[in-house]
Amino acid sequence: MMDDESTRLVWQSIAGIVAQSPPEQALGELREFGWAELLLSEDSQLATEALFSAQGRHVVPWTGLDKVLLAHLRPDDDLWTATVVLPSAGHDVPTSMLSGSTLRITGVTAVRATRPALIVVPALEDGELVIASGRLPTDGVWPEHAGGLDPASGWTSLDVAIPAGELLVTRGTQAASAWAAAAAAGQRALAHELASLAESMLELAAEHVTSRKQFGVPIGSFQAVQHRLADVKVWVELAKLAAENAWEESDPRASALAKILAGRAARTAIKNCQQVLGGMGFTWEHQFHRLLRRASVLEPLLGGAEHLRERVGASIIAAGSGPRLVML
Amino acid sequence: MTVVASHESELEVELTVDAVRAAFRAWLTDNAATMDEFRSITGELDEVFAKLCTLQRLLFNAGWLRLGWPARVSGLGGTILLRGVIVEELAAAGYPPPFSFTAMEVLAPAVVDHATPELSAEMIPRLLRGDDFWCQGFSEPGAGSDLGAISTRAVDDGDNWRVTGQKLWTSWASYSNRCLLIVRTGAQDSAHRGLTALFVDMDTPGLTVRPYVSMTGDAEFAELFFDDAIVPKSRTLGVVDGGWNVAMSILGYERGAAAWQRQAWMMARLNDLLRAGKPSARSVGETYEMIHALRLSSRRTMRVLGGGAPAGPAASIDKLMLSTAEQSLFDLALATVPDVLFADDAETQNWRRDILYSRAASIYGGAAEVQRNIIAQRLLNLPRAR
Ligand SMILES: Cc1cc2nc3c(=O)[nH]c(=O)nc-3n(C[C@H](O)[C@H](O)[C@H](O)COP(=O)(O)OP(=O)(O)OC[C@H]3O[C@@H](n4cnc5c(N)ncnc54)[C@H](O)[C@@H]3O)c2cc1C
Repeated sequence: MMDDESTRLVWQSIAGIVAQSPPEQALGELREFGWAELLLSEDSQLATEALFSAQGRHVVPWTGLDKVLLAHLRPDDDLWTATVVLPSAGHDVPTSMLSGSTLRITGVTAVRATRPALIVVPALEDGELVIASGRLPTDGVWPEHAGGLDPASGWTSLDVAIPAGELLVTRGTQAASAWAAAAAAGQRALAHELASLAESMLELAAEHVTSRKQFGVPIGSFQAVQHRLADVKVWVELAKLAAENAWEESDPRASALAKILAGRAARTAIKNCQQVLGGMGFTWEHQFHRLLRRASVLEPLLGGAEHLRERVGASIIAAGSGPRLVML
Repeated sequence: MTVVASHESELEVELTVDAVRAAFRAWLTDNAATMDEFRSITGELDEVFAKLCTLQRLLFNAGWLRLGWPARVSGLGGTILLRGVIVEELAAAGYPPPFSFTAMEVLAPAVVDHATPELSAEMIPRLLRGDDFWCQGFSEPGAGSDLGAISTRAVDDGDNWRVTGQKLWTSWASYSNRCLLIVRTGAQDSAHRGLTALFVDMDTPGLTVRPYVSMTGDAEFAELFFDDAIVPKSRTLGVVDGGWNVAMSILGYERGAAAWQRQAWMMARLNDLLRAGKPSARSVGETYEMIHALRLSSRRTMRVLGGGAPAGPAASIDKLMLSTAEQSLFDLALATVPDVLFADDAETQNWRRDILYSRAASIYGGAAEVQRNIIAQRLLNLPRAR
């Protein structure tokens, strides 16, 4: 593990790359920096936290999330030329289907300027989890542009069928445990990013209510306004603590809980910060909607909060007791 | 790493969280037969109280309740985290918290920090052993959320204070023999600057205790009437007119450390609920999320306190989470075991009591609105209203 000084330097370098690189060069610079090696080392927490907090802060038009999953699904391949197809928005189990000679890819994926050399698709085959990987057969199937609520997020949905013949398919417990680890790692990364987005919204709103005056006083001196932002502060703090905690625990539910609390922080921030920003926050020019859009499209990835609550709850009911996490 | 051996007990344990946890778990297993009678305590308040006293003495004599306290108050050393481990493992093993647990986390640290060394050396062991029970005399008819409005007066009379005034909502005062009292020693308009903390015996002449019944149906509350009651100056906690600091440090412990106790109990009650009925997966997930959040914020405060620093305004997050989690849990109980609302048996009495009591969680120890004010003004630095 690194000492405090090296940790600070790594953090700074990654934040610098995210803040300053032109979008099309950012992943290349992370590669040169050795981010993938850091991610695969015992310092993967540092690699993840630094990158995704910065992604949230700067709302960049690209993402490293697929690399986080690939590190668990295909750790021996080159992460930089591969990508992964996530389950459709709202799902934490694969939505792609493998049957006979066809892989029906249904999910969301990161758009890339150059076509990925390798795609990795978690899928279901007769209800069993499998991981299919290989080359794309033809040009054209890979999306070049993202659309939807936040085209700048770099994520887009995908629904194509490709021949399965050439694909490498992993099955059984090996596939299941790789996917469980990948999904949990992805949830932690998203938790860091969502918490950071919520915190950015809070900063915008706190700054606004301090400077904006109505009725002769800063609007931030009204208790109704203070309480809305106090609630955002509470959930932002808890989301950050939960994301940190998820790295301490071997139980994957800690990662789901981190994502749940980050989703709560993001939703509360979207609602309450928007309200106190008033009409100024409803313009295209204002930064707020970019944060709102990004948080909204990331929240359902790898399972939205409502869905994950149900999962965590079901596992607690099945076990008859809640897990003991967050030990002193 | 210190290894301690206490004289009265056989307890020998390394003073680390992990070692204490392992040792206490083992002790609970070895003593399961003796401990069995404490598993479910129901019935009239007096019986419950007596049982909980026995439990407390047992734990004290075995040394567990002396962990996390300094030697000068007969403790075995180590930080507050060790107390957090004991309370948590006790709850996880299915036992209720002993009666004085709240006073131990809320009031006792202030006495250790602010009382004369003689006073704390005498009083803390009595509290831990279960010989004494303490109550908290802050609130008054005109001073609830606004502690700066306290008007119970203490007049300087040589070696003594002469105290006159009224307190109310004093929880468990009729079961207590000591009270941590906040009084006014400065001018009536001195607000928070003219307050002083006193440690008062409940049998002081001139102090009358009138119990009254809380919403749960228990005679939990009392009014305290002070009529020229004489309190020796040696019972002053901290400096004269420095009572606000004592009160704030108590509120810091109440919001932060007592929240850790409360979450340990909530985890156990959630497990009880899973046995008692069939809640929906979604709502169990959400209630667990709230308790998880409470653990996260409370653990942070415990670590701050364990490092010797004050809890600070972040403890308001803990208090807000405490009420949110507790109300989420007992709202879930309402939805899951509605039959208990129509029953009268002792077995389901705890559900009825806990469901009602959860409503108070956003009022005592600083109302939820007061916590939000603190978060907005002290953590977010938003402008104060004029
Ligand atoms: C179960 C229970 C046990 C208690 N035990 C003790 C005890 O042992 N010792 C003791 O000293 N006291 C005790 N109390 C009293 C408790 O500390 C007070 O009830 C509490 O401080 C609130 O004061 P109040 O009841 O006078 O409410 P008020 O101060 O009158 O406030 C009523 C409501 O008004 C709102 N409000 C008040 N101030 C503000 C504000 N600044 N901004 C926005 N909204 C505000 C809040 O909603 C608040 O709940 C206990 C109370 C309960 C319910």
